[in-house]
Amino acid sequence: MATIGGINPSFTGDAQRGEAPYARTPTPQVLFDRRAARFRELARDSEIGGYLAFLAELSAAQHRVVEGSILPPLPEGATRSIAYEMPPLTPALAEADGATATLDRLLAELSKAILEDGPGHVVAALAAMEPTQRARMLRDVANGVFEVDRLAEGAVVAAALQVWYALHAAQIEDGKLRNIGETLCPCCGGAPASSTIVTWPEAQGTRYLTCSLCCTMWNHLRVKCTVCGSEKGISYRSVEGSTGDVAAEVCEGCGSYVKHLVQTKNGALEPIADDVASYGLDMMLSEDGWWRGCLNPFLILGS
Amino acid sequence: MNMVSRRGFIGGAAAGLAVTTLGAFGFGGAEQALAASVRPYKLSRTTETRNTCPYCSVSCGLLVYSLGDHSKNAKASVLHIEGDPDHPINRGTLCPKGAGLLDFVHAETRTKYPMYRKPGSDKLERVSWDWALDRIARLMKDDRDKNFVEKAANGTTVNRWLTTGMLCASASTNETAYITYKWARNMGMLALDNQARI
Repeated sequence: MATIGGINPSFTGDAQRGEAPYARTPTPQVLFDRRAARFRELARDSEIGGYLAFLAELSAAQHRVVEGSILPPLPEGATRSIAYEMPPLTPALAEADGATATLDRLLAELSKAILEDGPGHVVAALAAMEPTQRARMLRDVANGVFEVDRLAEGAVVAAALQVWYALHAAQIEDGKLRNIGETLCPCCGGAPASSTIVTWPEAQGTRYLTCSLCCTMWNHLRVKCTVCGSEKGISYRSVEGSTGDVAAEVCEGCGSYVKHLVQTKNGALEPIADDVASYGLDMMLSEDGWWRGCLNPFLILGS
Repeated sequence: MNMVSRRGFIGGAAAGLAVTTLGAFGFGGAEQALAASVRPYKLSRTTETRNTCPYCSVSCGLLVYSLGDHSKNAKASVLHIEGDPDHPINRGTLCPKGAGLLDFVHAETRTKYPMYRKPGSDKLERVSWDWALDRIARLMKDDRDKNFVEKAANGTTVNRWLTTGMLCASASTNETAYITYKWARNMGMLALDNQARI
């Protein structure tokens, strides 16, 4: 392990806790289950509880799809991409048969769940859609592009892709991923969904961004815009009187904001779920003219 | 076809048309209820500013949290100080002295201006920087003129001023430390030390 300035790692406790990883790939076997639990908890006391309860069902369905999956082999060229410091997973993965099958299985799981009318119709509409159209949606969503008239269908497709990509990402060693441009996921080139101050023993207090597609988390310097990279004019907004565990990092340079979840203040915060649940903060920020600079398929706000 | 991506709409969406994932799933009513429920609330603004601990030569990185928008009627105040987790030296840690920096910032007895205690007086009084620097320069010049050593006992030419010493600040960069050293040694000052050793 690296030492800095000759400091003995045992002096700072680093010997036990190890080095902070640049990136941490997901563990799909627990990720979606935990997310479902968090959505359920958040749904209990929220104006948008109905929506959060549906997302809990969606996450639970994602979890069941993971449980019924075998780990897919990594695509050809993934090793080469890593060697050339490129993201090993590409949008082409969404065109594989496995992606279509994952979406089909997710829709099958969802059709078994008890859903409200709105989400129920969306699931039925997706299931009834022409296979070629579903394939096109998979491709678009993997590229981070959502159709305005089909944001709901896009969210379900994104959920299937999260499972499909996370199953691949889980097989990639954390230490092999390199910085490919700080605001892009080093594993799949996806956009970040939110920013989290983590409590991992080896990286206590540092910030990681969570990929909206493959759910990999990667390090990003604190107090630095996640959209334009500026380190000047950064400040935080939170609801007056709150503990500030859920805040927004705003950049005066580009006018964007990204949700900033401080797990050192609240260990229960989940990068995707708490971003959706704090939609009220987005409403307050948009009134002040800030625009949302991240991509969470379950909370796309167009205006 | 209207498409949306990470940076808002691409393609010609009608201006002012609010489209959201919640609305698309049929939760538009809940959305309106949420909008109504947040209306009474305000946003508070905090900043996190990187700085360097002033105590010793380790120069630990700090994050200084302050509240306030720096506008005329709101006074910015330092809320909290912690080690900068991204700093390669301290990686978020601080020693007990550094961990107490918030009290140092807010201490009533903190020295904020040059203070002067007259010979024989028992209290400090505030003076201007100009006065203080002139006074220091005057006393240094007088002392050096009186006590400067030009020749050693064996006749060798030397540059020695042994009656004045200097204690330097700890959070200096290499460049600052280099210039400080040159400045003091040029005048022959040999008793030169740094706060960082304390």
